Amino acid sequence: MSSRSVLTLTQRELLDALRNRWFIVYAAAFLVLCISLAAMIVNSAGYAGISGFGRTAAGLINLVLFLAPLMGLTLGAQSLSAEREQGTLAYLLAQPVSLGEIFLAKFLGLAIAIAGAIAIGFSISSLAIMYWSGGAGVGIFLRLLPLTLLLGWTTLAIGFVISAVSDKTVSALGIGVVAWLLLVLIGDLGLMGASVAVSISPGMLLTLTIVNPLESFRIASILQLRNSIELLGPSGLVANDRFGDLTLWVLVGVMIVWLTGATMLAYVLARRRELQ
Amino acid sequence: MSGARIVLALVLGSWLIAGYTTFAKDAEETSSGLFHLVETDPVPDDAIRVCESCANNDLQATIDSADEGVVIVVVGGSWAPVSIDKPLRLAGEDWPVIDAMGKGSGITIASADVTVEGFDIRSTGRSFDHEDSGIYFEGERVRILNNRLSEVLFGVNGALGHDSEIAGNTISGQTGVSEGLRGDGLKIWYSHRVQIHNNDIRNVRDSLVWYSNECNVYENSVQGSRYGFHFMNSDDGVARRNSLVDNSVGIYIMYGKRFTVADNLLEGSRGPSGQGLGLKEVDGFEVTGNLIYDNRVGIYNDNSPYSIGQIGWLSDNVIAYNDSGLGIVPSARDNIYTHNSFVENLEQVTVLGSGALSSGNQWSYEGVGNFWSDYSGYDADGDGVGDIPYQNTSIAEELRRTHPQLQLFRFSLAERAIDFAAQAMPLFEAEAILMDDSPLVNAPTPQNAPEVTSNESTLHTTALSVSLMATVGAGIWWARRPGAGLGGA
Amino acid sequence: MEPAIQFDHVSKRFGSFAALDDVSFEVPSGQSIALWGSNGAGKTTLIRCMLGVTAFRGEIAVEGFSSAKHGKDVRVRIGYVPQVMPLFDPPVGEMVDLISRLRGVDSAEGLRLLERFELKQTLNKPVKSLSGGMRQRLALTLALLGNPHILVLDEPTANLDASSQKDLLTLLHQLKDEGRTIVFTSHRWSEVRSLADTVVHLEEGRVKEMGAVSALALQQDLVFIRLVLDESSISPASTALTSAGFQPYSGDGSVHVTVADAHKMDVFGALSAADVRVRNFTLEVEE
Repeated sequence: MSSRSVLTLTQRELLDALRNRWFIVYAAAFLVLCISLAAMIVNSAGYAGISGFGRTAAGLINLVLFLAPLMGLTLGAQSLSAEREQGTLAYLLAQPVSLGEIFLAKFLGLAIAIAGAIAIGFSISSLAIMYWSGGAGVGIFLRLLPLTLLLGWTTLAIGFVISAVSDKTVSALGIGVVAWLLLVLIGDLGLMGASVAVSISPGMLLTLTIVNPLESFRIASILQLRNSIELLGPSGLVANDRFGDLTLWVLVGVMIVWLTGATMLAYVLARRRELQ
Repeated sequence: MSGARIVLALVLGSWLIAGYTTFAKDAEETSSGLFHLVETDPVPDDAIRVCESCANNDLQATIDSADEGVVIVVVGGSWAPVSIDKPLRLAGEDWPVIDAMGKGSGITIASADVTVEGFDIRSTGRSFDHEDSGIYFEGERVRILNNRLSEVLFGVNGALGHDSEIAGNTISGQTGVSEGLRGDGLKIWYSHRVQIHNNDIRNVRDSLVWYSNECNVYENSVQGSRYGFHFMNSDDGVARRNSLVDNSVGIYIMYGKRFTVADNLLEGSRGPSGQGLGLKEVDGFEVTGNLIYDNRVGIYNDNSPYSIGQIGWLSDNVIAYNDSGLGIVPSARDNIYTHNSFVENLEQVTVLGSGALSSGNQWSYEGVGNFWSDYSGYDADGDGVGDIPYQNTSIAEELRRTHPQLQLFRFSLAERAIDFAAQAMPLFEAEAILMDDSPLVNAPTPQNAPEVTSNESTLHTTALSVSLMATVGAGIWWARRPGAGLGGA
Repeated sequence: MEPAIQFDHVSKRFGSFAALDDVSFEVPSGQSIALWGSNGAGKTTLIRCMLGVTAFRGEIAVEGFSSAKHGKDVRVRIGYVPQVMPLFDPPVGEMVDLISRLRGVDSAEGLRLLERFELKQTLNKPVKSLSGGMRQRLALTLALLGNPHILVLDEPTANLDASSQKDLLTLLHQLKDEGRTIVFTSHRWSEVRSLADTVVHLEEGRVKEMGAVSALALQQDLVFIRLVLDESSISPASTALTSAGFQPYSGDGSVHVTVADAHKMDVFGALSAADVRVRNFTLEVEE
């Protein structure tokens, strides 16, 4: 593995991301929604002249849950499949670089691009709150930054898996959107329904829920922003019993396992497909 | 190459500043500003002076041989624990230290009319059986003023001490010991009309006022403890303008009658049973002007008022950013809520237990309701009162109540989708927990309560934000930078 | 003198299908070799094996480096021109920059090559906006970065019009005259005859015939037919022609076939028997 090739290709990937219409739309949407939320937070803090983490600020978790995985999954899903479709991947492979270098650079480039979009959205929103309110509630965005980055990267890795097995960009995008719906909505609705219909122990429900990296993110965010696992009812108390102070790290661990597992799987699949 | 160096230097510099602001933030001490030393009587000229290099260098012997009512001044130095069994005044100068060296109590008072002031008392024993205390007293009209107590099991521990005063003391328990294994910062037992004020209490178990009527507790600060103040069977008590931050429970009142809780800051009460203010079977109370912020449950009401004919009056409180603003058992009734602000609580009102909230509560009084930050009505006639009633409905909240396991899905998009669907299709509309028919459109703001302790550093956030933006900018610059002079042009 | 490229019992299977079956031959340094054969004969697979971007059995040595084990060392020694230069997003200058850096050369060299191939004015134009001929010249530019001795071209003229094809051929002749080893595939006999010293005729993954162009049994009066078809007819047409014994080659919206002049009507016979509608065709007599 040559770090110079990886660096060169990462730079190219970043530059391509800046030219990518999808990426620009996501970054802009993320920024606009974050600033709108910042305005709402400032507005709600104005009611009684104090700020904090309340119903409005909780919307940040929803916002991130909505957009970051969409960004990660669809950008990831397009990544290899688009290059394959255009023939650029085969062309690059005929150069003195390895698939591993191309793969790593693509992942790094997109991960940096996503991180940039998130960082810009959060930092401008923080400054906006500062400007509007003089500081009340200003910390909310940045406190969620590390988890949001991790979520973006994890879903990017899952997107890469989709990309590694898809021939056409369109079908990869379709699968990406379905995966997004599944992870963000349908899985939860299913678990909620199941837990009402049949008796699932709080421990089992917790396990089934945090297997989903988006749910791990959500619960970790609640811990990070609110530091009260009791909000999560019986399953939250089980988490406290099982993991205690390590709960946050367990959830982060789930996301890291997904991130590394999906990245490796995507690489193995891409390798099998490209180099067979 | 120099362009790259400049960019790198700018980015690194911004992060260095951001990092520095982290340390600057950590260095700040949180203080409510309520604690201060209280005025003491002047020391008379005929006071007996004790110091390590004086003729009088045995403190206990001096006390034992002193006449009743004398003033003994102790100047600096380090002293063994002492017992006082007659009325006198012991006044420390230059913070004389009484170090119990991990055994027994610091000062033991077995007499009425004793004053102890200006001592630095350290390291009591750890015996719960003997209630090893910084200062233990049994006697009326005892005054404990301006002492520093640290690494103590119990802090100031008094029984049968009517008309005593405990003021201007700092009391801190053992650090590194879990709450349950600490002693009580204050323990007042069968002592009526005690004045407790301007003390700063940290890292203890509880501060108790039990079986003690007409006690006045004001302008104290309690942090990092289990029960900030715990009143039991104490009638006609007043807790005013105290700051209770980061305890498991801020103020807890059990039984007793006619209690006043006014203008306190109740903040950051966390943990499974975290409550800003807990009211258990209290008969008659006024809860007014409190700022109740960022607690697990803002005000917890378990069957208060207890007896028929008693009233709970709750007005002018700002109840903001709690997990639950109010947590009420279904059977609680005869409470009047008026002119309070319910701001941004994750759940404004939570019914604890099965069944609907008793209809015997009033959510407005003489046409004045409360401010609800989630009120979606309007005030067309501009009289400050919303034209349609406030109703607390959320199918997701309803589902969480009937199926507690669903709390795990809080803040999920699935939960939002359910609420959204319920709004779109009224078929699934949840029953309202309560109805306020005169909701206020402007929020009453905190008036006399201490300000919330903000742990947010705006400087730090600004520095971080700027660093992040600089980093992203540098990233874009790098991405657009041609490798060796081609490309751009 | 050591051969530039040595194929030694190269086999490659995709499942039960043998794409290459025990292929062995040498490419002497400075020689120009054409790989000839129908679609699916194994030409592209052989090139991919040579580039070390796919696994295979046997051994391929490029200037002494094993394709299987030292793919990067091999690829840095080979300039590769694909059938179509892919539609990269970035402008030409950036592409030259990128490939220069990947090949570890100064991109000033790229600038000289762009000048040589008359592409300098396209420096800031996206690759997408170039004409077919320009794109292939760009591909050649990129392939020559680092001045490799070996050029590998996979159907370099397949998608070009006649005049671009001629231009490219002229360039390739120049490059050959510079002493480079050239391996290329083509389905135009005229191109093979003009550029190749030796032809390797692959069929069903095996070397069917190999030798100087003039000595080959293939050598006869050939015509090149370009059939313009509906997109949906391309695959039935290829099937029909293959089963009739021809070696069709399918490209963008068209099928090409090279046949002996005497049998050219059989092509149309086979197509009408298979109910394939031919929208148009062009005929080039191979010289």
